[in-house]
Amino acid sequence: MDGAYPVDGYIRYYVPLDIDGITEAGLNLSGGAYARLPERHVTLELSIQGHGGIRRIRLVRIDWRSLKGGHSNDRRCAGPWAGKRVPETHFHRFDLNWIESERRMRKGKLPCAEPIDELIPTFEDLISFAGIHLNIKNINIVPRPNWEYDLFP
Amino acid sequence: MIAAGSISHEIQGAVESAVRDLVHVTRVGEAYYVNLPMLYPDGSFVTVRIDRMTGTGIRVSDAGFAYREVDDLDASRSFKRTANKVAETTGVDVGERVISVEANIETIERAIFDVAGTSWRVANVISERIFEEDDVVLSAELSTRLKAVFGSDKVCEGEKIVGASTVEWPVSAIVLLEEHKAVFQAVNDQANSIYRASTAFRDISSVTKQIRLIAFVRSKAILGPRLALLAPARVVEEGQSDESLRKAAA
Repeated sequence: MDGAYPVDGYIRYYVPLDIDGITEAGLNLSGGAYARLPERHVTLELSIQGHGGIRRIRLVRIDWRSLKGGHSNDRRCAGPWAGKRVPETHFHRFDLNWIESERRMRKGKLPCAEPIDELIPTFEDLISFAGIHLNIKNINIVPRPNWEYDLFP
Repeated sequence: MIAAGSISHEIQGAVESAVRDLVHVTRVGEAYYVNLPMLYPDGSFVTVRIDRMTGTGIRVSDAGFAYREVDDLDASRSFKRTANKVAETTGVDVGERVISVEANIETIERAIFDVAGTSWRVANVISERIFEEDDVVLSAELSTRLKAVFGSDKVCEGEKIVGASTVEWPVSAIVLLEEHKAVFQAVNDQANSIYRASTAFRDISSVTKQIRLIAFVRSKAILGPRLALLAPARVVEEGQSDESLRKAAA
């Protein structure tokens, strides 16, 4: 995350991940936030590249304090949150979006999510939560976004 | 059928609660974010941002959310072109990443409708187009796999095969084997892709038995009963092993 922001101020990063010490080229942790919206609307997502590196397949996503009104679950999702709105902080868990009988992810960008009950007040808390639930041991190397704080809002 | 007077208090309460929950507003600093009862393709709510300008002027924008949607699909290059087309009918401004309009407190409601509607349509149009382009993507994946398995010198792309009808059928790839050719066609789960492949396979197989026909699909399960339409071809899923590709071509 550097200071060269695009016009909408969105900052995004990709981090390749290791499994047992070997870097899996197609396995990425990606994140995004708005430079001028500190501590709001942060996304962390785990994805892999499909065959030939052409298509990104999303595996899990955490949306923290989203400004887009939460997420509306597809009615065909499994679990108690099927067809319901989940709040602005929610978890697109792998098992909610995996179709075991067809051995594939559901179509779309992880259409099923559930609320996160745990209190996540800061970015650092979010990173800790992601480390535990995405099973990334040294996730603390993910830097805090260079958010621009307005002294006179 | 809905009978007059049959709506219970429970249903009435549920309806009223749902309606109250359809629109949300959040204030962040000097800006307002309004979540509307429309969904982007990822299931998030179409949202507009309202900023104050001078006097009673306001700026309503989508805060770049439609751009983020299409960027997530690796289709950001399509954003401006598509947004400009949609904006012709809604009269909003299209920036590099943001859809917006300047209005005032008298016209704020219509400005919200126009920006939100444009933002939703842009994300939706591009998302659907990406979906339709899936067979192009699948063809590229297939080509990469075939070259790795059989060698680049054995794989021909951009070829056509003439069927019994004399129609020339473009196919994804042809693999040249010692005694015969294996013709691979990427087939997605859209009706057009399946029916086109089905017709081509039957037409080509009527000419010669010296060609092996193979449909390359993402998932047989998704095709369901339409899988049978791909006969007389063999069918291989993208997730199957290289050995499966060799066996199918043999």
